[in-house]
Amino acid sequence: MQVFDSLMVGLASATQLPILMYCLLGVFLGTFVGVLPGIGPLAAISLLLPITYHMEPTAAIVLLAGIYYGSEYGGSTASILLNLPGTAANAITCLDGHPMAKQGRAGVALFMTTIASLVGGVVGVLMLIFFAPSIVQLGLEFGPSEYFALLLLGVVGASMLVSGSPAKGLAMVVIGLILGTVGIDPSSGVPRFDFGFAALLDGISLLVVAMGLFGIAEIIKNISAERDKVSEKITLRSMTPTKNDFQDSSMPMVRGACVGSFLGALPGTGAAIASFAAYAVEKKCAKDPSKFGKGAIQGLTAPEAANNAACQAAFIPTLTLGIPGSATMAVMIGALILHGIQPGPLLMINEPSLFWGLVVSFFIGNIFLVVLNIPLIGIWVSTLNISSKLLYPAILIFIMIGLYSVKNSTFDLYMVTIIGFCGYAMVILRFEAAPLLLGFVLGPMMEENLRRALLLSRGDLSTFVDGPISAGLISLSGAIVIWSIVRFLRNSFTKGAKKFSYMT
Amino acid sequence: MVKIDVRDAIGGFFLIILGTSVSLYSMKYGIGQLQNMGAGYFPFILGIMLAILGAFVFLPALFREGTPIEIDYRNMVSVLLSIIVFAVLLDYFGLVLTTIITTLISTIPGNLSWKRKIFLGGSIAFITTIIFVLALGMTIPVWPWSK
Repeated sequence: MQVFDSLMVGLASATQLPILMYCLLGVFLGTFVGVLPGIGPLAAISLLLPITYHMEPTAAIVLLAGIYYGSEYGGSTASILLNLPGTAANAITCLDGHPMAKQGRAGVALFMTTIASLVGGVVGVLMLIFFAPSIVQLGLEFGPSEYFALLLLGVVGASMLVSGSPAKGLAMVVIGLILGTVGIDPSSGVPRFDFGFAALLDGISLLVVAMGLFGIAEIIKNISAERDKVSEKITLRSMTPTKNDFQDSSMPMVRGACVGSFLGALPGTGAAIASFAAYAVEKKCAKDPSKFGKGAIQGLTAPEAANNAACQAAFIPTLTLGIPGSATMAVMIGALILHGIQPGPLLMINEPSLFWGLVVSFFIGNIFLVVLNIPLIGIWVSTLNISSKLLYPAILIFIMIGLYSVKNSTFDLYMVTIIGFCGYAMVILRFEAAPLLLGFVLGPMMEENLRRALLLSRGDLSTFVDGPISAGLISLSGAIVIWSIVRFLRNSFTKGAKKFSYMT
Repeated sequence: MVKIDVRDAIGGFFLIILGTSVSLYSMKYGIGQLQNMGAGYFPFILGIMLAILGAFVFLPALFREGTPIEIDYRNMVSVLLSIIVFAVLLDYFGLVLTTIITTLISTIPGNLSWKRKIFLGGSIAFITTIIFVLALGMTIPVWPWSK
């Protein structure tokens, strides 16, 4: 079978010692970043991006990917022990994880979430393996209209499925699209919005936007905050679950993994939305929904399986079509471009050892993570006790050096101050930053495909609904817009009725 | 308290201003037609969309009550100022001294003792020199006299 051969190629690539080491380093850093509340995988990947310049492409991507899915393992630790989400996707884990900790079952909760994460991760990778070749084949037939429609879906999905008003989410995407136009327009050669700064001719750096919105804004918020300390000792024995725990969790894990894989594969939606959806599904399927929120193990394992599955599945559109499966994937695409690799349907064909090596590294990485998160859980518990006052100033310096090192220029540092200020303003005013990042990365691609499609059709807008694929995608985007508006209006008229609270 | 949703009101208002400015400014790049889009076409459309969305956010906010805004000015100024200071001083003072000075500024909100702040700055400087300059081989001036 062709897939088997490809996996063999991947295995040969992934088991080389340097790659294995970078995989381990990646998942280790990922867990670390995931454990720490506030700094997420997005900031970490952006930070390490310039450092990977000097590495081989396969090693670099394996490392960065490891950080991404590794963080979804570690994120549950702070949620369970401190009721503080390690990453956005772990907000749901607090709901049933922390009550379990208060009941003295923290160890079991940590153990089961690791297993759930493993199940989710493996299912996600299997989805990737099964569907990637067919999607690549489909993608090779994409014309500019299809690409535009798919990008539109991604952008709409990201902006509409956030909590809060759809208008705000969409506005953020549009701002991102506008920021993406800064620089020399590739089609006409006209410099746009550069205001005379030569450094802006290449556009605003992706790192600056990612770090400013997600890193600096978080640091401003948290640099003076003090976190509670974890007082309990987690021993291996306290972690062993009962047979009931396993029985109760098995179907939720499977359901969560399926929900997560599906939502993660859609462009725009990521691990956070997947975990919320899995929780909702689980509550609907439960025999005793009233137990949710008080330490129901199903409410813990389903979202954790979902967020890991979503992480792995987010690679599907990213690697097969070159369209980010989530905001973090947008940065990953930036990383690929940095290393001279063009993301898109040809990636699998032109760089099989990179593609399949990465896929195999996912399996290896997930196994590393189980070892890191069960026997070595003690490391992470003590990490949680490092004071924010010491940690965040250090992270700030790392961010600055990372940014400076890209071009040995201080211009980006001034830019990140401005963006960081805007990022903090957005936090204060309750506007979401992830849609902005997605719009920023997808904007240039959207404009190029829009232009090309209209050029080919001589200004005829119906070209977007002519082909079955683009028509389908456009209608799906439209459906999401309508559904989000309806849901928002319905929520605003039901006074005070909150089904469950999102992380606001 | 004020009877409007201050956050969305400010946010929406700003979106309207930003959107209109972008549209107006992009006209100077040439709009062109649908079948042959000029450099200014895409930003022009986006600016209008943004202004409309801003109105959708701003207008309802005037009739809805919201929670008051809390801005942590101390944190914000400390962090942003420390980035600017870092950018200004790095080429002159080198990595070690700049890191220490920057850390002194960024730890203002943390209320640490002076000794702790200097120790923290020194340790960060040490770690970053090892990681970035020695291990990764980046060309960053470490001391004021190194070029």
